[in-house]
Amino acid sequence: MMQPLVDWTLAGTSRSGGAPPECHEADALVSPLKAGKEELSTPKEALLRGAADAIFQQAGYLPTTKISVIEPAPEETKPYCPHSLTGMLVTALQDAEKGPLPRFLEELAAQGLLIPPGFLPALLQLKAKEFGHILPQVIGERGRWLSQWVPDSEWLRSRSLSTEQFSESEAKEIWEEGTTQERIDVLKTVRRHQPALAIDWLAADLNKEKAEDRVKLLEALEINLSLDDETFLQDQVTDRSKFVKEKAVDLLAAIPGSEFATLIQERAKKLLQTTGKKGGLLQFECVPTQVMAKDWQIAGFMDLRRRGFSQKEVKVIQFLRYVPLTFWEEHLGADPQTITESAALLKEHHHPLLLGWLNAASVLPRTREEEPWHPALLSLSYKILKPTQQLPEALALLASKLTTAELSQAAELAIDAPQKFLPQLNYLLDSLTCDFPASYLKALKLLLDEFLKSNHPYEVEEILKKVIANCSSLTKECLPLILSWELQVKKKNNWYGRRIEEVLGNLQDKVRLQQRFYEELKKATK
Amino acid sequence: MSISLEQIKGLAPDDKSVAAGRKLNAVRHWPTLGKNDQVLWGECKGSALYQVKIDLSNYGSACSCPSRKFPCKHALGLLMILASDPSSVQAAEPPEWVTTWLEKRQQRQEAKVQKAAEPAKKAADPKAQARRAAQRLKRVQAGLDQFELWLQDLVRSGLAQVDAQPPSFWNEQAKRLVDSQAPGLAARVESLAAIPHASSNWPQKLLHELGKLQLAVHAFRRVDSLSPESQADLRQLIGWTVTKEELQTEGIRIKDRWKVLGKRAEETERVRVERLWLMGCETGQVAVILTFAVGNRPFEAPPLLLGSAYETELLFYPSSFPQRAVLTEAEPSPLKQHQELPGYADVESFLDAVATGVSRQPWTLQYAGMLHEVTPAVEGEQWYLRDRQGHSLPLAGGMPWSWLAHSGGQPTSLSGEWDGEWFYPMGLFFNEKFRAL
Repeated sequence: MMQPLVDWTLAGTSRSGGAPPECHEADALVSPLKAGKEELSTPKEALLRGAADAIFQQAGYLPTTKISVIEPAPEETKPYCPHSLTGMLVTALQDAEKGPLPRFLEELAAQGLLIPPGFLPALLQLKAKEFGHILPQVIGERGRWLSQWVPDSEWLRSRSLSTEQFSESEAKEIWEEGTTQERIDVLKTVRRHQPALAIDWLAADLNKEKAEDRVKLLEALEINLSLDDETFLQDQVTDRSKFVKEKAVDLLAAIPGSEFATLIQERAKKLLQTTGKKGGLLQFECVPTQVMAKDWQIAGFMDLRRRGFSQKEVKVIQFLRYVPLTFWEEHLGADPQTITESAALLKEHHHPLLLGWLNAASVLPRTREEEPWHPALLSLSYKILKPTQQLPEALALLASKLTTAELSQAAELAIDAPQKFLPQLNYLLDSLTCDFPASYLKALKLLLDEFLKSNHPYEVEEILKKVIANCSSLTKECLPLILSWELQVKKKNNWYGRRIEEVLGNLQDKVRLQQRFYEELKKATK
Repeated sequence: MSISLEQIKGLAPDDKSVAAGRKLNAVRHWPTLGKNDQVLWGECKGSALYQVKIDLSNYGSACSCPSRKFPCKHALGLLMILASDPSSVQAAEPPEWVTTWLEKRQQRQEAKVQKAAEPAKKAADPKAQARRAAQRLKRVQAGLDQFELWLQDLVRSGLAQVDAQPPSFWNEQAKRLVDSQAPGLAARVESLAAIPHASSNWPQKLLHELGKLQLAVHAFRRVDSLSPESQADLRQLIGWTVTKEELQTEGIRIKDRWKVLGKRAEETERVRVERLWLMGCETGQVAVILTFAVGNRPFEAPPLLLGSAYETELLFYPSSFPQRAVLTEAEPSPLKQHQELPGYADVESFLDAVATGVSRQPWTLQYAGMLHEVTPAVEGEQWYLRDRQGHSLPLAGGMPWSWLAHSGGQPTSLSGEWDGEWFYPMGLFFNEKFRAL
């Protein structure tokens, strides 16, 4: 109704001419003025009509009536975490580095507690990459309900099987209707309870998946891998994707007694042969094969080139990748330390030999028997690899497979190594996904003091920042140790000294926060 | 009475202070910490050792640091420690520097009460004052004549022409109004610059605002024939300030249990304004306490905790629709365990109150209130508040995350500001708790 007046004033009274167009009831507010003594100019009348319309619209505002109700969130079945913890959750959530937050959430999930609703808006903005494993367990029904308005948040609504009671029908439902991640998770669970059932499902559906997902689904077979899986995996070796082929071959190599593993091990016997003993060490030679039999030309064995290595050497790396480390103990009749120390004395091919072993350690599923190999390989790496390029690569390969105790040993080796410098340790810290063991921290403290003595405060700051970034993996036992850290830098009253003091203080704040959180959680769940 | 982190945020003069306070929310910065029923104190290690004390009855604070912000980051940090980890502050006997502060504070409070009870001093020279007032009136009238011409010229040549005008087009007219001692109208003219092309119906909005300004000029010409309250409204709109003495004599005093509904801040070119909204539990009267800050200076807001209630007296500026008020008590204490919730039963009753306001004082820009039993609702990308009758008001600011999270879609009480087009949520009251939104 107002539009004619708006159009009229947009054009201007001088152009439009005449009196302002009639509007509606609001005009009644202006009419008495026109009837009065004062003469109203046309622009003034238009303006007053505008005012009358504004007042009329504002006073007579009509609410919308066609908006439908949204379905409320379902009732929660689990309790919220106690109020005494919420302040600490706020602190952890506001931390730009998100330090101890993942650990806090894991602890809450383990206790069957949910995050109070007030935290959900901030939590739902977290990334699936870092928090995907834990968020769905702590956001509850309210969080899942809220996530319907969060873009790309299907992962938050992911369904998971109960870990205590396995239900085949429930698992089948998720397998048939779930998202990719849900299907991978359910396949792993099925694999734990009924390994053959997982193979049946994969045999029926695997070729309908994308290559990338096929690799992820095959990874689930690492759980309870056995000779029963061999036929299925042999079929996958002919897959059209190079990565699926590689995965299938990795798995075949890891099955003790499989046709492929036996074949590879037969070949491997010819690759490394002992020629005698000297000074407690083995004398052996490495005889790489140039030509590959045609039936061996399966995934991973063709057309590979590697900078800095001859074709023969590439083959060595490829072969060794599929040979379990423990095989060499039997074949060469020596323990891992003797074997690796002997390898260091080889005139040639020791580098591809080490890389092959490191690959085997990283690719094949870890076994208890091969644990003595890890410090031995680390020691060999420090001895023969170039610190700037080769060593970091080796550490990166190995670190993901190391236990916390081995990481401590690695750290101590880094300190004992001839070159006391940062890259090794940085790589270890970067690869550190498991808990910080106390001995590892002790080693770290030694290194920090070492840097301070040699006046490298920048490196100290960098290491401290790394520990802060990995704060979430600090075990409860590590907390008192970090609180006791007092770096000698405090005595240096310069910019770096103050800076390091600040970073250390920041780390200790986070540690204290974790300590208090555990204490309060213990009290609350008693 | 415990304090939440949200309420501490509400007390802070600005966001920077909140961030700085957050950094001090770690006991390692505090070699000394202690509390008793009355006071919380601590010594904070900064570039010096600062002594911070907080009166727990009303959260008034003092710090030995040189900061001009109030409360300072040290006081905020100390309060945050109390809120996030109360067990880290042990009960203790207050040291002398704390007891001395408390005594002096008590003395100051008494002196203020005594001063307030004294009769106001008479103006130094009533004749000179009257002469100055007449001069100003003359200047304002001349300014309004010129302003009216400008308004009408605008309509004569067409509102479409503002399309091509730079912000200086509005600013120059605003400056002329300032020169004519009509700063209130000047601010309104400055705000017009934001209308063109900000929405699809901008020509209508512009015509509405220009029309209201014309109405103000028209009304001022016959101000003497209006009621004293409408005269006060017009004078305040044009830019006359109400002096303390005028406020004391002409203002309206209302005693009630005032619930703090929330606050909203707004920035104009010259000044930042913070509006703290309250609603009387007994009278249903809505009040707004305005705080102004220039440039980067922080707000010096009254120390009222959001969501709390205060039994105190507010002094309202004279108006036919009184909203603006000041506290008569400097630092009132919040009521303990107060669960009364004033407000409107539904959207319709809220809009009725707005309509009353519009009819009495058509230049009011914001209304506020608390609506009970409302739920979030959505259509497309637009979110609404919806009452049990199915009446909805559009919400400003996108998805109401916090409201959704806390309510889970169940009915709650929601406080907010209404500008005639959008509802700006300020606070949520549910399960006897308050959440700032």
